[in-house]
Amino acid sequence: MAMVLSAAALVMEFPLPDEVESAPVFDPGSSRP
Amino acid sequence: VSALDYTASDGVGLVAAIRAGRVSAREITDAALAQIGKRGPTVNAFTTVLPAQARADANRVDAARAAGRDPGPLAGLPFAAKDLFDIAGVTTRAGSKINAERPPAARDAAAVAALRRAGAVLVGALNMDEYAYGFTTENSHYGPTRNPHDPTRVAGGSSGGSGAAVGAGLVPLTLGSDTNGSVRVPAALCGAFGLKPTYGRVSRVGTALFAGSFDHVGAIGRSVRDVTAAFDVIQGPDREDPACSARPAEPCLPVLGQGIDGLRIAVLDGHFARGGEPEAFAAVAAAAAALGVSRRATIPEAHRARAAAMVITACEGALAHLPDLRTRPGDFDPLTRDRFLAGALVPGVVYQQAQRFRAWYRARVAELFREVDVLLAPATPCPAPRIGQEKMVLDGVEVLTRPNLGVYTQPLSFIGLPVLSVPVGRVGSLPLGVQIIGSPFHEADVLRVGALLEAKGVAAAAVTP
Repeated sequence: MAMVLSAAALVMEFPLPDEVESAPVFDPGSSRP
Repeated sequence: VSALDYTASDGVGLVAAIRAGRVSAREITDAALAQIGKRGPTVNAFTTVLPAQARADANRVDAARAAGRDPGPLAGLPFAAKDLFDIAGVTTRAGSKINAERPPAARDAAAVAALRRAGAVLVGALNMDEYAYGFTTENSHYGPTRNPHDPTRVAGGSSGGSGAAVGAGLVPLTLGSDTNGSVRVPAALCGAFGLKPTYGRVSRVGTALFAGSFDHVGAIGRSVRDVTAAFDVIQGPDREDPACSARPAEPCLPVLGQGIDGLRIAVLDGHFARGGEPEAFAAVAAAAAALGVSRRATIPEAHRARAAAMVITACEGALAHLPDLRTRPGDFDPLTRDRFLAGALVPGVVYQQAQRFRAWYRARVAELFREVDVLLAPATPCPAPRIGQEKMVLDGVEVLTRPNLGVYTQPLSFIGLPVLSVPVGRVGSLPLGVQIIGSPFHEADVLRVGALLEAKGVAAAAVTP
């Protein structure tokens, strides 16, 4: 649990630009955004 | 053919001998079964052995050849599949006690079927971490798979049986799956070549998925040409797998010998150059020197990509097993259960943020691949740890052993990049691997680099028969 919590904190603290959206279907060839 | 001859040759070499009539497929299959009987109990790589089916398949290959028909590009090549690939007539356990209650599979998984159609001979199913959630194959239901080069140490995971079977000379080729490093880690620790193709390049139909947006089918083998020959047979579109790309297959075996002219290669620094033992970085340096590579490159936020991969994996994995986690948690492997339970408690906003980060990170890496074609990095931060080892010291810091074996693999599978792990020759020492990383759908690039390292003698499989 501690590992996942630490990972979650690391993810949440990153200042992503507002316009970034997650891809609904993962496509490794896409370079957007 | 003697057991010594069998374990001395790679798979493609055995196929060439069979197709030329120097040895029969049945003789090779019998040698494989003998080697499994000799070394199998020590390494505990197999969960199921299929001698009758294997001998029948081998006899069919020999009959085809005797009748003048083409026995297939992989004629008589013995292989085995991680126990999350369906095998018709066999229950797919995925390393679990729970799935052992299920009925036998009705048909072979797509990758297994493709290899068998090409003439390869399936000899059995291989041990793994429960539901593929782990890097060590210390499976409490079916026992730990032991490293073929030191049985007190782990084989890596989650495709530990797939790595150990090659490293112990049981079979020259195995199928594995890779979500966060599960092909590359055991390949590296067992001294084998491990190919994790691009996400969506190989059909996963008939496999037990772990975390669907990460799951890849891959191959572990005794040589670059072994994993390439297998890849060429299993790659390509499959409408039954919604994640499988419509991009047509691009055979790589014909280009293996092209060398590296025209490829821009760099060694990854930053996250990939810290937090490991010096010998892991020395292996990368040896590969870079052999290739004449001095350029360095950085993937930004790779440590955070690893964190995001952990979050998404835990959530997707937990969702798949939620009913069983609620009703029968005691039937899970304790190591795996705790990871799934953690995933079930992650807030949705964290999962969504991890997926947004994934899109951002993928775009940054795509920018890097406009400047380079191939990247090099360690496969693991250290050689195989001891079985049961809870902690280890890396770069002066005490860390948990099991999750940290994937520290260099997770940021790459996170965005589906094709990677070949090659075993770097270390005489008298436990094996280590170097990751050769390409841009999406450029498996040919990484295989060409791997083939050159093998030709130069820098990369070589370690087999302890």
